Amino acid sequence: MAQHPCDDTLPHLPFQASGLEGVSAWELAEALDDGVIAVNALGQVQAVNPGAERLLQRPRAELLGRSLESLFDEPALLRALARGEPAKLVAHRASSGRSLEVRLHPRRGQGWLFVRDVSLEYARGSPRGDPSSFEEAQRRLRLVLDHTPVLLFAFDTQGILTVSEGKGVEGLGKAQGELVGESIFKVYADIDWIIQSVHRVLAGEEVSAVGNVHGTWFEVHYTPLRDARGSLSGGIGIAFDVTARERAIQVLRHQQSVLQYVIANVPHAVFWKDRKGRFLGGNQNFINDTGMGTLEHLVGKSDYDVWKKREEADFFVQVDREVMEQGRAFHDIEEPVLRSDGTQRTLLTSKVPIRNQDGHVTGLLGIYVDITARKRMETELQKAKQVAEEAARAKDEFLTVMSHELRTPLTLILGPLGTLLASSTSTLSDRTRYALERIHGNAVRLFHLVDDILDHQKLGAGQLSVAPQPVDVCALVAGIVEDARPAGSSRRIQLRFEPDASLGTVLLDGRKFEKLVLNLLGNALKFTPAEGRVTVRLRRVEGELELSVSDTGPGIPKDRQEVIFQRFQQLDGSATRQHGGTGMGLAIVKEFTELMGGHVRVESEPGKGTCFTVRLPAEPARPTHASPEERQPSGSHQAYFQQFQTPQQSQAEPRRPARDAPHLLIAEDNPGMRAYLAELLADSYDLELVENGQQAWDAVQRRRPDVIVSDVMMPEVDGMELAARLKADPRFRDVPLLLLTAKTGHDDVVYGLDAGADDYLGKPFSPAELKARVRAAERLHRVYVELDARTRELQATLHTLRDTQAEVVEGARQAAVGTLVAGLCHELNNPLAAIRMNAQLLARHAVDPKLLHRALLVIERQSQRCACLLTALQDFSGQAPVKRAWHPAGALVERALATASPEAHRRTVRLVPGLPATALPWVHVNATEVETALLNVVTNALEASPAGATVRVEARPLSRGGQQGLEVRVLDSGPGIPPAVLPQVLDLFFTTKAPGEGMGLGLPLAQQFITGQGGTIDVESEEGHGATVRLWLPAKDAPCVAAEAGRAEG
Amino acid sequence: MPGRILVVDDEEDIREALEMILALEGYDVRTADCGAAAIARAEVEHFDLVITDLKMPGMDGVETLMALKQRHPCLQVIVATGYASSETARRCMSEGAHDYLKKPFDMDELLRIVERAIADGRVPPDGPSAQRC
Repeated sequence: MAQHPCDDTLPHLPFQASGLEGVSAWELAEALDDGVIAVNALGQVQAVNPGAERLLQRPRAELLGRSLESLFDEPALLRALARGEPAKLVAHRASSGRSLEVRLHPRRGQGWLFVRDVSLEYARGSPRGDPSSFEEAQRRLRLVLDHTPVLLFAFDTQGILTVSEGKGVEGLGKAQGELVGESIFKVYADIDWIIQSVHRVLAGEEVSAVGNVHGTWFEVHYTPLRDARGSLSGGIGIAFDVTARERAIQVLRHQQSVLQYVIANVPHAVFWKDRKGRFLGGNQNFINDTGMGTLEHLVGKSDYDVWKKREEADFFVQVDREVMEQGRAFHDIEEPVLRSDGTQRTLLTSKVPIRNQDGHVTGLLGIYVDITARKRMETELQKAKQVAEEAARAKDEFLTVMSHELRTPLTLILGPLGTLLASSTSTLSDRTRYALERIHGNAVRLFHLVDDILDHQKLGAGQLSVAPQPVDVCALVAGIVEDARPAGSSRRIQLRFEPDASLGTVLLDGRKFEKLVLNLLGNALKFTPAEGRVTVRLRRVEGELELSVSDTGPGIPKDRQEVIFQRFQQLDGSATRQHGGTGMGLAIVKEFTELMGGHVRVESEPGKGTCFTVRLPAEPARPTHASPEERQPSGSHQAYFQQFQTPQQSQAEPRRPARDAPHLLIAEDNPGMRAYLAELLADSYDLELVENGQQAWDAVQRRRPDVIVSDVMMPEVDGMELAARLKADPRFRDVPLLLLTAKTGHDDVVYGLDAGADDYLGKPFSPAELKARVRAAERLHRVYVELDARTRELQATLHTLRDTQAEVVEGARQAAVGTLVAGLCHELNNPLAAIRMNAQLLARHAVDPKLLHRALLVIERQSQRCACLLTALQDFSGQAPVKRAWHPAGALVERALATASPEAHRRTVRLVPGLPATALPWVHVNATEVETALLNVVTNALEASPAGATVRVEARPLSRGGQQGLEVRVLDSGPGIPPAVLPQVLDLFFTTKAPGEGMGLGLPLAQQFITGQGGTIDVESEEGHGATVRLWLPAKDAPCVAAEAGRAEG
Repeated sequence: MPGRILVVDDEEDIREALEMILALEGYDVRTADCGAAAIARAEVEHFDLVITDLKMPGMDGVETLMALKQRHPCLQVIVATGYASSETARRCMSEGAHDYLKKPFDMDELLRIVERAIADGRVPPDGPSAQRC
């Protein structure tokens, strides 16, 4: 730091200065502190001043005549003198340890040497202020030290501070000079970097360091000090307070690290380049993409070095140039790039110019994101869309081909049929004619449908053109309206046509116009209820033809008025849609109208009706045209309108069924199908025909039918809903319902049966099958009705029973009756089946006597079974007289066991009697009842037991409450009875068995019989461990004849 | 169209009557008095159709139906029931029964259903691939 002061001006001696003439130069020299030596051309000393004597530490006499070389060991001085050039150097005199600055000022072959002692400067490094005085220098130094935040300090080899000056010292809370004499090692003992620096300085090193001293940052420069001999005498240091700078640096560093963090962690790749397009940096994402590995490899490279494909690099460079030359940012450029790993990617890049402070573009910053996946998805979507469109096209084509293919057979059906119907000579019966007309009507309907589809497809493909011809529109429309009249009048719809006679013949595509009228009129007829009105109006408005068709139908809600013109749209898409049809009619109307250059609009008010208005440009045909073309060969449209017709009942010969024929209700919305069903069933049934489920429901209320045949898909209330309503109403629950369904899959059948239908029949069905099914349903109903009557009787009996049997739970009664009927059904149907089959067999086949005998035996046996069942019911109802007598208990038990043993055998259950060796007591009872009770209990136990199990029947005398008695216990090892149902097992008709498995009569009957004779019955069971039924009857050791005599006659 | 039929019913009278009626129509009829016997028979002999009662001791009609259908998916099975509950019928249909008969049978109905069942079992309606069995 001890900078040698630089002064390139030589001192100008004052004797030449103006105003000082007369003063000898030497006089001045004598007064100077600095040494002045005059030498001759040979470098020998000619004169010296006292300053020189002092500095060279030699008396004048010794110095005079000596050579310059001997005074200063500096050959440069002599060389400069010889050349007459000035020189300046510092000479170190080992003898005095002084450093002397020597300036040579050559003058006319001689030279002046000015010598100055600069030892101090060398030793202390203190800046030299004004060269004129040391004090001035001191003063300036002081000024500096007192006013700038500098610390100046010096220390000796021991680290003892010899100088501690400068305003900065005060910043540390010390006065200037205060620390002098203290050891720097102690003062800054806790500040490692200072201690380290001092040690290094004392080792002879120059040190610069920046560090913190109690919160203040200092930049310190140390210089070792040497004494005159050059050996280390200590060091000096100057320190500047750089806290502000350091803080700023730290803030910058922090900002920089945040920035670096952001750049490193954004999901984008970031890079920056210089003006020449060379990479200056990039984040890891970018380095990865380039495959350069490290930043060092990237820096300095160009796009051509980095990317594999030249054309891609060309593109990047091109964009870079534009960004930098135009100085504007480019956003979201899609760039394809082949990455170093060989994958082709698509990048979405933004490039921004980088400017310096002057606003000059110095490079660019690029940032991009890899959108390859997004791009691929877009491509795939595009492909999928294409595939879908192709599929739709293929479907359209298929539809077109199908429609074409359908036309041929339809034409072949319609042609001969038309001929057949038209021939007046034909000898068709009314019925045949009626049937043929129906076939014809439906075929025409199909034909129109196919036509609609074809037109539609052609429209879609743009293959339909308009062919205007002269058409007498009024006549054309009048004809169509006439054809629709039968359909209208069948539902008492008033059909009006209001033509405009002035219209005359106009140029129009007749076929298309005809279609418009057909579709609009058909639509109106379809939706107008009976007694309604349809009006067709034709007039000329503003030079155009206006056709309007208004009806008194249900109307179309505002928000649906747009939708109706769309293809395959019907307002009500549900299964209960009011009306059949594909929903193509109105779409065709709109498309045709627009094709013909017109437009269609709809006005409608829900509840009031709808009016469709078609406007078409129609020039009047010029008279030069030939007479209007004949109507299209499609001829009469009567067959087309037949679909909106309600067929008259018995259009064919009326047939009256037998007077007491079962009443059959048919619900079917399709008039043709309805008529067909009626025709098939009219012979055997008293028919009633309705059009939908609601009407059917109303009809059922008016007159209860024996059987209902109903379609599933019907307007308003469909077949399923009808079934649900019927089954939910106790009055009609039993009316058999046979559903006709167009679907015949198992699932649909199951669905129908679930809904409550009793049977189903899939369309198309054979007449024989329909008849058989209806017959079966009707028969079922008859059986039901009979059983129902029987049930009513039983119900009456139950009323009586309830008076005496409080334990019959009121709530269980209704359910119990159902269960009883179910059980009875099974018990009766099995023998009935055997009887019936044998009877039918005998009736139809001439069988040999042996077979005949066998069949009769079966009939006899099974009828007996039915009779027994009915007797049991009668017994139960309590009508049989009660007869009591004395019986030995053992005999009763044994007889019951004997009766039960075949059942036990059949079930492979062991029946084990447990009777005591001694005789059992006598009981006074109705033997049949007690035996039945026992048998019921045992049978119940057998039924509960699994195969191979054991049922024990134990009997013993048991006195209770002082009364002698008999106890019989029946123990089974079945599943036991759940605690929840245990209290109910003795209730009438309670059963845990499935319907048909038993009636729930066994135990309650047993209870009735046992309690009737003064006994008790109770059941114990633990779930999983079988059940025990205990019977107890009063008993005596011997029969008491006297008691019997009084009562036995009852 | 003759065919082999197995009649399963625990009641002998019904069994015999069915056997007689069907035999007179030209069918080759075998009988079994319980579900287990029917399954055993079907293992060793081919049948076009099985008519089984629903309520039988031991294995009932539905179990018999399920067992038969599991072993011989193509075998046509008709279930006969004395107690005509649509619930039971629904169950049988969903377990694969071809149809169900309500007792007491009408001979015409019986024969028609039998004939159709055998026909359905023999000729797949839409060619061999249309039907799984």
